[in-house]
Amino acid sequence: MFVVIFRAVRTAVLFFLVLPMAAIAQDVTLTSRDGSVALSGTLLSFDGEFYRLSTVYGPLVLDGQAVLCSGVGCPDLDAYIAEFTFAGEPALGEVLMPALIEGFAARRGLSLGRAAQDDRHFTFTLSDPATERVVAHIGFRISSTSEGFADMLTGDADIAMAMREVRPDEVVRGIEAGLGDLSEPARSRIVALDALVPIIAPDNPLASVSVEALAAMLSGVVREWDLQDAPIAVHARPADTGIQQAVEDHFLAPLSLVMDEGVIRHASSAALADAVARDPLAIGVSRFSDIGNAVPVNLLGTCGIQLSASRRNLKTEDYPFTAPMFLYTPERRLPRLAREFLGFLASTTAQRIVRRAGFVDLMREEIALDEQGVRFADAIANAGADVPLEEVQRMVALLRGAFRLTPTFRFRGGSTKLDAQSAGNVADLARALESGVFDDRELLFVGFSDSDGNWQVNRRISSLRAEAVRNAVLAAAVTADQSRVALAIEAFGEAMPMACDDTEWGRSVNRRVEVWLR
Amino acid sequence: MKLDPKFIVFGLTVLVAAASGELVQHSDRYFGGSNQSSATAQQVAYAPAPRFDLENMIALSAPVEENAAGDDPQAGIVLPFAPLAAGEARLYSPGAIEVSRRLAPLDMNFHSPNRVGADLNQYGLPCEPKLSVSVAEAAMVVLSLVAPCRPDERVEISHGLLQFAMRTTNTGVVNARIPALSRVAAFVVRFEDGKILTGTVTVPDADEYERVALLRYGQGAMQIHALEFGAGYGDAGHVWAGAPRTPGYGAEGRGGFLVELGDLSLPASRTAEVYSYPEGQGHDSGVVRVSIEAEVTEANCGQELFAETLQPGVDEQLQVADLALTMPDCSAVGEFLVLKNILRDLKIARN
Repeated sequence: MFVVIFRAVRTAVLFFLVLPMAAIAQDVTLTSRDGSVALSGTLLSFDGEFYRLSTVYGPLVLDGQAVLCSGVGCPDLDAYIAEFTFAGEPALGEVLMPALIEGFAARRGLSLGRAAQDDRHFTFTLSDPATERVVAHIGFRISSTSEGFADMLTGDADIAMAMREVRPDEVVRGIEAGLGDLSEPARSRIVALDALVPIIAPDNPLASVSVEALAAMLSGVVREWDLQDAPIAVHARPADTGIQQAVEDHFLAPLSLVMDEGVIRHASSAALADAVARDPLAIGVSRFSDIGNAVPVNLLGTCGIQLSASRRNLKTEDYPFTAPMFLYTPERRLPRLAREFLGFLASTTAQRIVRRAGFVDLMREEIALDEQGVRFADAIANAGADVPLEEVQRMVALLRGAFRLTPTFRFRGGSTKLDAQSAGNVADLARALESGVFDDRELLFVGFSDSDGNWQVNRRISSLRAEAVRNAVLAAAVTADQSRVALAIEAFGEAMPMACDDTEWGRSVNRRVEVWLR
Repeated sequence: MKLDPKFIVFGLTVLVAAASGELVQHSDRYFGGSNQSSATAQQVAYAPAPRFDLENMIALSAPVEENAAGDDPQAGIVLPFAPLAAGEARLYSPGAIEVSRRLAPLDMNFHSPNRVGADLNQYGLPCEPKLSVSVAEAAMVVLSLVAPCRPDERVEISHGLLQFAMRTTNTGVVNARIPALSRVAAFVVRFEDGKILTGTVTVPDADEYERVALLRYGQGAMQIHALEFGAGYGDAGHVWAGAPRTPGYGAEGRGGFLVELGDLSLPASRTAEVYSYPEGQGHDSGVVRVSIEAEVTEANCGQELFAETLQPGVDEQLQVADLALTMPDCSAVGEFLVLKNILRDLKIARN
């Protein structure tokens, strides 16, 4: 038992010794293994694999395998400890990332320790259980998405945790700080999916709510429950939190409303969810991953279509208020173990951890036609007005026996540019094509549109979008054997609406390219 | 074949009588040389062995007067003192002295078993320690250790990743109820001299309980608090060391329960807290919020507290992690450090 105590103590001591040392640059000479080339300079960093050296020729990166290091500044190769820090969004940092680091350590057979000051500042230590050698210190600073980007800009963090995409001003400052263009696809990755969900207590009789009615409650325009003849208690997070900003951006701003000042604010989404769960007169907006003991409310469109936040609806983005969870990395090379950890995030093991933590994973799913009855019923109900019934029948005939894949492609407000989740889907489908998952089958890219304008024009537009998405996937799937899988295009315009077309978010849900497999 | 109990009793009596006769006549053969001198017997008479405290036993027992009515000349008088509570009865009693004197000749015939110190203890019980493990309700395991020659000794008990220390009683016994962390539950008991005993038992319902545990070093400043389904502090659904509930509560599917393991009074002790929730049995679905709390005290302010956490990770397997908690400085003495996210909340689904 004492061994464990001492190990923990030594870990703590090492941690404080190593950090300042890493910051001191020193003189080294790197010589190629055959002795023919030698380079001297100041060692900027060593990531366990590559040396980054400041030389008279400018900064150079050399493969550690190919050179021998001499001089006072040489790192001890065996004592190398990977160090990197995550900062930002609590939704990612509180539970999900620690669980993923635990899973990564277990997968690698590394033992795990956590040194905590409080819930928001802690450091993981990964070590080899056989030799008790420390291989990594992984720091966490949990604040908010904006603070995470700020920490990255000031060099206090290596990886930013965010529940939104980087903003243009943050991109500019990132470039100035030498982090590279953070809006580039290579600088970010989606770890998990989450969503904004209105929540109520289990004993609240409300069954569904329209976005307009929700906005009216949040803004204080409506203060009494219809069903309960009692005042509404609105619960929210502080105004500077990422989720509260998202609530205002998605639910209130489109209707030119602002949050009521008298709402009850909570320090964490768990506290918000539990407070709402206790009060049958309460309503609030939480994350899908932290509904706690409250229950979610379906969103109701004025045309009668209901949208529920479910795993599949988040994966397909058919639920409009989906919020992907991002990690942003700088252009510079991170320690090898950090890169390996980021690679681990896409694995099945990691995605199972994501699901277990209450988030929606990124694993592709196939949805049979039987499970889409409501969608097809809406399509039939809609037929005849604009879209002729024959067009709906053609669609049913084509898709019968096929499976819809969860990756769906949607576009940024009116543009032809894919949104973040869809951009991730391009890469995912491309990888699947390269690995031959769809060999000997047919992938059908099916375009749909909103109902603004003539249905034939809409069909043509949706066809063009489907073609654009297919081409993007093909362009990304460099090594795929195209003779083994057929990639076809179809388009049905406004024939199968997912949401009502009377709001902008409803229309953007309907403008999409689905992928079907047969 | 049916035996009349009367014959059994008769037979046994004859056997015992014959055996004791043999024993009395040839006691040397069984108990070694009789090198106890008669001086010892006299010593007993004047200064009774404190261990047995015969005065008090007799003085307090009601039949003193009965004895007196018999052949004791000093009996028949009222008790010299009012009867005393057992704990304080350490007073002179003439009657008792008399009894001691009369018992002395019997004591002369008591000899320590000759293998004492080797494989029998002072009461003649075999030294060989025995460990038994059996299944109890709520996927608990009853561990019983009997080590007659190891009274008052520290033992380390481990069950997989769960480890804690206990002390044997003055008769060398340890009893513990331990939550099973796996269907095939193995237990290891280690004595201070390195002797090890093991026991394994199959616990059929072990997988039906979601468990999280905190393994602490030294004083148990860190504690698990579970708030079931939105309960607040002090509510019925707040489970912690101060309101741990019983395993029976879990077995009935009514909610979770907390088990504390280990002996805090031992120096450099390891102790553990295990919170268990019966999965799929409860009537509730929702979230049990699990936190670790530590009171900031004069003893621990500004220092690091060490522990290990156990919680389900990938594929529901329990994962262990070291925890080093930096306590706030001493201006915060009396406050509580609450860590809500080290142990993950339990998401309970209704079946």
